[in-house]
Amino acid sequence: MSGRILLSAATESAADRLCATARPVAGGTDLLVHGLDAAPVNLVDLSRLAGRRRPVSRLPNGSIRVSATAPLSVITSADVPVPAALADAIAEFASPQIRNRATIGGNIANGSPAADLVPPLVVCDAIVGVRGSGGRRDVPIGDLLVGPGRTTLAPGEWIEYVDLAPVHHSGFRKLGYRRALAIAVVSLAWSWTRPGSGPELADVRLAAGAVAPTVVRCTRAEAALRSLRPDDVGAAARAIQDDITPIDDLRASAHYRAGALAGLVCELPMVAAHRGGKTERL
Amino acid sequence: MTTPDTTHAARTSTPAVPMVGRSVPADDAGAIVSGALSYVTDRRASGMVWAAVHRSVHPHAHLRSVDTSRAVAESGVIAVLTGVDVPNNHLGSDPANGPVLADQVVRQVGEAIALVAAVDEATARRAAALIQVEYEPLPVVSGPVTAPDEVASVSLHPGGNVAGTIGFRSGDVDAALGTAELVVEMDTVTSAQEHVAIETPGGMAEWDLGKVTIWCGSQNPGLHRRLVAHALGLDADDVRLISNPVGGAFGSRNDDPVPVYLALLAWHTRRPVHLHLSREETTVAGPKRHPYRTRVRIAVDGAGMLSAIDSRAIADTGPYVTSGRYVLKTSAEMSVGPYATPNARFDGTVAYSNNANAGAFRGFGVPQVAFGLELAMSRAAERLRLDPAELRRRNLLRAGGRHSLYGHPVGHGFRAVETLDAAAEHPFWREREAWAAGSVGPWRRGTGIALAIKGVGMGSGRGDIARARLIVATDGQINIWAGPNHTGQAIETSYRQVAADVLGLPADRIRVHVGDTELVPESGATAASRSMYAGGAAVERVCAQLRAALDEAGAGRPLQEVAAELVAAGRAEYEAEFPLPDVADPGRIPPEALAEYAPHAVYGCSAQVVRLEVNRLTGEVRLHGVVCAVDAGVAINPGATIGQAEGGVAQGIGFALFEEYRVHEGRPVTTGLENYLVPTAVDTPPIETILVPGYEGTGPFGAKGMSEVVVVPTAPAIAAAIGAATGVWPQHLPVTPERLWTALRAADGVVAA
Repeated sequence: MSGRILLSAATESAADRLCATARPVAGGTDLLVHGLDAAPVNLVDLSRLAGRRRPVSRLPNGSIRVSATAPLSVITSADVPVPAALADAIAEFASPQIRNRATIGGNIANGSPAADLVPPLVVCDAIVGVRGSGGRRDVPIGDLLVGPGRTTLAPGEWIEYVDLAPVHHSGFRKLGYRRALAIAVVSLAWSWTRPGSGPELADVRLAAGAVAPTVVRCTRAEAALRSLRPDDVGAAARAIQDDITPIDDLRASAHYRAGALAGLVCELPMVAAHRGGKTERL
Repeated sequence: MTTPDTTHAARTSTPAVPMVGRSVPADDAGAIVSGALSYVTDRRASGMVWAAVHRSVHPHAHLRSVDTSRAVAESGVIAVLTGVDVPNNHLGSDPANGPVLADQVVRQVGEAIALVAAVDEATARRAAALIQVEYEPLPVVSGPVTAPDEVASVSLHPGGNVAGTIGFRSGDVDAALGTAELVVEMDTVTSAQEHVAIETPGGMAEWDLGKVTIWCGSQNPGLHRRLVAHALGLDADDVRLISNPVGGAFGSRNDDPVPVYLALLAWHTRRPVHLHLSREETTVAGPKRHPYRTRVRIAVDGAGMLSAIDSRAIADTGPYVTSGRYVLKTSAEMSVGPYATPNARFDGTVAYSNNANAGAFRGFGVPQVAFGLELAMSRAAERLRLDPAELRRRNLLRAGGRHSLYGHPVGHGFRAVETLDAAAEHPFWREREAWAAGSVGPWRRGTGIALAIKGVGMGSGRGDIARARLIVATDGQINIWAGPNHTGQAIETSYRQVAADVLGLPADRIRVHVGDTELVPESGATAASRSMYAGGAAVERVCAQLRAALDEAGAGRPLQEVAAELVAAGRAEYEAEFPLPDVADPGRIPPEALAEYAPHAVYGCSAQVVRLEVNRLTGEVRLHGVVCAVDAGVAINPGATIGQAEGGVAQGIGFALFEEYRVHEGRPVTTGLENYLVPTAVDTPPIETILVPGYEGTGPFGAKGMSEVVVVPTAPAIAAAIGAATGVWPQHLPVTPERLWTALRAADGVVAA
């Protein structure tokens, strides 16, 4: 505990300057789980930045900009709605108390392959706004993810916002061993457009959590999921096995993870049919 | 409340509105929910030192040496104690209960080896980590559930690894099984469950003038007083345990060693000592529900009549036996459930291992054996195309009937029929086909029912007694000291309701005190569903004595006047005891073996219905509602009774679907609440409790115990609902999504990759 300094960054430029020598922290909910004794010596608190900008705003190009330092509960109560996949994931995220603190930036930077918010960001082609004392850069979400606990964020860099492409249909399904405060055993986010009134799909994006060293985009399954007809869904459930590299761990076997993820793919027609209606069970 | 001030008013008879039967909030309710209540672990004193425990990192090893020199040299360290510093290094008189501090062999990861006291908590923990232990690892016994063949391979105790056995039979089980039209067998595994009391073990102790006072949670203050006195070589009168307020127990504070650690530290340092275990320490080192493997076979004829119940159970007690033999005894008695059958058999073994030490846990050996029996009943009903409630109804013991294994009468307050009917008449059960028909996509809907009994009290032949003491003051204020103790269920509030009605006085004239060995007469454990029943009866008796004295002084006179007369006459103090009744006759049990089998004269019942959905693609289970019918006789405090029922169901849900303390080759895998999962509020569906009308003639105002039986039917009702929804009958608890998915795939004929 000795020697830690917590600096509060009131402006973005102050944050850039301070983060150059200390580690950024927003909600602190991962920091507490890992234990304060394991924390680096100096921390920069980014939480005061959240009040300076609108938590969710619409950009001129149609994208939706979401604050990466605002608490999740602030994001879901904003007047501009976020894509359904992200809203679903926030609703399943931890617990109400943690949603009052935790941020999207923290969930990305923590680098967990089971991060609940990352699959929705992937299927919304998120561009991550990264800042640091050297300036700012926009990074596609996939380029940030390296492995468990690892990202391409440089020391001193922090995440300011994420820009999400407008998506017509999206959603997120988490399989945890209980319905709150549980780490995902597998998760699946999807987005697509429906060119006609039939079951055909276009622009399909699928991303899965907890089945690879990072959240992964499932391109083979996307290619197979041409429609929501049973044969295409079955093909996608088979193809997704080649998109993932699950492992055995404390929570589940690799075999179960693969099978359960196939199950989540097979659920998609029912989930899609119920979209717009009651989604409590989905 | 509009009770009149009766200090000067006439005391006539029972108040117009009796207190018994009213839902009275716990006295501390406001302070509990606002966080204002000071628990035993919140206690501080000037000059207090802080303690920490050094624990084994090996599941089984000889201790070659324990080097405390670096810890002792650490600045701020007051004392470092090992086994040699304990005058009598045993937790009780039976060596199989283990040492206070391991000094030769450790048999479990987390076993205590040394205690440190220091000027602050951080120093104590840092110094504890500096203790150097040289281990010589020994082979690990993984336990009778996971490795039954190993039981005989390495002995953890001089007598081998079998800590106890119990066997009993009635009739000819083999003949009945051989000739039955239908035999259903369940081979079940139930897991180690952690109590997860909100307040982890801890408290404070002070040494003063040759006496030690300990503030620490306890379900059995008298037992803890004796454990402390035994270990320290003190007279029991020189040990005082004040054991509340405390945040929950569920069995975990039955033989918790922390009061002994606290006393030992206070004795050595001569200073007030504080110790509070972390959640991780408690999870690894604290007791668990005994894991069981149980094989149950039932024989049924075409008309749905049971002809035999045959159970074989093996329990894992971990490194020490503590409650294990009593847990197994309770399994034996409750292995036939509430059913009448001419042929019954139970064979049980409790064995040592290097897993978590198992101890008392709400339900005490019943959930483990009832799971297989109730699942077999539901499965048999399905095979016979009978309503599962009807199959049970045809086989129920009636009030006054004789127990299927032991043959003793089950008492006239027994209400199994009424309890089952209360649950089966609920729309959840009657409309189960409509519920199933509403299945959507992969979510398959099912409904399950299950029934359970649990004896009230320690059982016949065990000299089980509760006591109460009463003093009336000159101003008419009445103080009652009674047990069993309160461990979070606000039992003193319910005792006061009994006292008010016996005395015919408003409750605010009466104060009830529990959980202090100096003041409360020895009343045994807050266990075995006995507190309301036995403690309430002792309170009833002591109040009846005062009531007689008041009546003798003349009805209608002011209480204060009569009280002053009683004080002046030396008749202000009363004592009473309630010996729990033994069975009216022991049936097939040889009279000299009555205490060994300890059958009950009084049983409580619970029947539960569970409505749920199962995802066939993923194995997930989502509960939609639980109906809990419970036979508590007369509920003294219905709100508190419903609270106990809901808490029991929630713990049953955890046992069924979530909770599994995992150990791999003696090493803990689930070491905290991040990976040992308990149900959250969103995993716990609405619970509807039905208090079944009844009257237990031996209990206070017709009450009997109920807080354990409600935990029992939940798991078999859930498993039966899964069976109804999917055709797969899960026999391994908890039913995790992966376990259920694997079973569903196997049922679909998919070969595991």
